[in-house]
Amino acid sequence: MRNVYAIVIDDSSAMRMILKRIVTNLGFDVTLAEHGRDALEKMESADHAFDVALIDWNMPEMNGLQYIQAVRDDPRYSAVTLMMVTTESEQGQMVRALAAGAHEYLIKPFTPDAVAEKLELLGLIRPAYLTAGV
Amino acid sequence: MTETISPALPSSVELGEIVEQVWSSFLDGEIISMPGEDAPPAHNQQMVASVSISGDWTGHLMIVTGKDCAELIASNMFQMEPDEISTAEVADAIGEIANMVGGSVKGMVGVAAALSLPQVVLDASALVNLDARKVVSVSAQWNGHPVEISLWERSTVGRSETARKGA
Repeated sequence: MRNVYAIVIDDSSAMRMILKRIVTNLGFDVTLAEHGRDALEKMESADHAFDVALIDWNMPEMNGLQYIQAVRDDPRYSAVTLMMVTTESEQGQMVRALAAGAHEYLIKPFTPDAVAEKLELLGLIRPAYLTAGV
Repeated sequence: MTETISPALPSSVELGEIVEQVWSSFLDGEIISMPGEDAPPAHNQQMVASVSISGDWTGHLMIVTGKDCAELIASNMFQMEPDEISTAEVADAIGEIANMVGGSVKGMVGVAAALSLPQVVLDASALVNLDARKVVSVSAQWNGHPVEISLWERSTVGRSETARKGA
């Protein structure tokens, strides 16, 4: 079975570590990025494609919405599944992110099971992983 | 005619519920909020994390706690021993907690507004704007450490009156 690759994009190193623990335990090979531009550079230089990006909204340099727009404008990344993971909980913000090309939206704070449920909905993990400890 | 939407500022009970939800998601041990009570002063150096909300309602959310409590928060989030955590990581962790509480408050306020990136300092007075007033606060205890969470409203001409109606 091939590896599945995730990139976690968040300006908080604590949040990056929390998400890394969760998605690593779900079977992903995880790359970390501090903001959207950092993520684009790491995607450009990686020797593999990414299956999913977990994206914070409010970040310096390039925010999550700008990152989603950049990824959607680049046909090389058309297969990357984009999931916003953010404190932005207003319906209007969710609509903006989904209209820009996000596939899923998860509001912070979240639980490990909530992350797993979203990734299962996206077809990236099997339901059996929901019972995995984090 | 444009309809003005009044901000729905949280009560101290609602702010306490937001805090408890953030704590229980990422930190070990229950945080016990005591709405309406004054927080006992932190017995060591303070750490203060804040995020600003700017838009149709303007203010900021502030978390004040002792440095040892902030180190324990970071230890939980990074899953490392407190003495292995750098000052930058402590600031990052408590800043992210403020970001999540502030984001939830912004969602509850229900007006068009933007959330700033977190600021973390060692002295609360550095973050208190003279034009701001505290509108709600929660004192809490977590693992024996006092934590105060407060929401401040900035008095901006044309905005403060609307905000007061909704408080």
